[in-house]
Amino acid sequence: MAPERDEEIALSRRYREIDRVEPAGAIDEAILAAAKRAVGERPRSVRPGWRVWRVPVSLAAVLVLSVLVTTQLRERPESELTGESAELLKKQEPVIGHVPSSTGVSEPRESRAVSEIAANPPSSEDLRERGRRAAATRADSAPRAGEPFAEKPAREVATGVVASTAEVPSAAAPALLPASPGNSAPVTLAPSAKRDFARAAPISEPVSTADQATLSEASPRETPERWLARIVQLRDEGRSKEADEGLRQFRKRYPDYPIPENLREKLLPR
Amino acid sequence: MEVSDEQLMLAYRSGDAGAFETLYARHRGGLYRFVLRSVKERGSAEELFQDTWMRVIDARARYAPQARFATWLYTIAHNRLVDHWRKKAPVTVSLDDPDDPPENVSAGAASDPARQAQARQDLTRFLAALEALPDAQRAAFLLREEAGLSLAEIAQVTGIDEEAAKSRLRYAMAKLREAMDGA
Repeated sequence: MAPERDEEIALSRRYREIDRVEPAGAIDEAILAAAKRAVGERPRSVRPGWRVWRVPVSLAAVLVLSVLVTTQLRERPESELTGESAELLKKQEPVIGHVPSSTGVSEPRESRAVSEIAANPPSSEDLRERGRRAAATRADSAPRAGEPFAEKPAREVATGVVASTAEVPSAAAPALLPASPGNSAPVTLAPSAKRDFARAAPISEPVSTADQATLSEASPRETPERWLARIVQLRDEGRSKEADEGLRQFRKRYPDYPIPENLREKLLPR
Repeated sequence: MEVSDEQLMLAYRSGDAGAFETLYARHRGGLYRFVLRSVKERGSAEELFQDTWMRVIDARARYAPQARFATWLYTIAHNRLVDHWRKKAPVTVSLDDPDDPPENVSAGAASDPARQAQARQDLTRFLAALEALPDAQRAAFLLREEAGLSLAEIAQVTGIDEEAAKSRLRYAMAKLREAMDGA
């Protein structure tokens, strides 16, 4: 057995002495390129674990994304507001609509704002300053000649909030105020507008003492038209003293405001 | 530890082209010589060699490591050779060009021109004897030398039983030895 094995080894050694020919480089390249192409055509096989969890993980990801996007969209309108526009909107909000009170009972926003002002009455200097700012805002937001009145601020349209006439009067209620300070023509209060004033003012409830105090001073945010409408209303209700005081305060606040003819009789003491 | 051929092939099946490169580098020389010395013609050898690897690439998805990768690879090559032999009548063309005699001679012989010439003659005679072997015996010998297959694996590749494979290999070696002794 051993000699046979030796002969086998000798033959093997002799065979290995022959030239060790190898394939040409071009053949190598062709085969390797084909091998790469073959696996490149198809994606790598998916691991079984991932295959099992692929659908649940995808659904969970979609769910989480949806919740995040919804949350972001809800929070965005408030957080996007900056500077003057945010201040504007915050000022407008209390005048319009209702917010739930802490007891869960709906309370008119305006009466709440009035209460707040009654608790912390602004000084006359403050009122003058606010009046100047309101006038400046009116001037800024008033449409220029030729601009359509229907054009509202973009913010207003986007949020669906109807601006009060306190800060953007000329855009929201162009018929109630002169378009510019220079326009001294008396403004007529249309009957429908009058109804609107009456509707906007929360007068169905008895006015508290604090409210009475604010009626005479009025909110610095209240428009002259609205203020006048309230005075008329007080006059109608027979609360002449309060109406007189309100008119006095109004004169003090808006000395140059032209009182419409049709309101003048109702406003003056009877 | 070196990665086995089977692991490389599985990696390639999973899309790792680099694994195939390693596998190819390991087997390219042996397979090429096995094919070349079986068909005795360089053009056909290159064609069969390339075709064998292309079949490996195409069959990668069906590969299962039930046997050594080398056994699988040489089975494919042997089947291609059988097809080739069936198509072509046996030819007895020299494996090497007359102008390109075997270069590899032992280091000791290289120093002595007379011994160098003798070594070349021995190798030429050995190649002639190998060439003269019947296809089945030559295949058994080459599978042993180039692929390093065992008798069982040679039997598996060539589709015969192990005893027949052993017999073929023994005949082949006897003829080669006889050719060398007669020198």
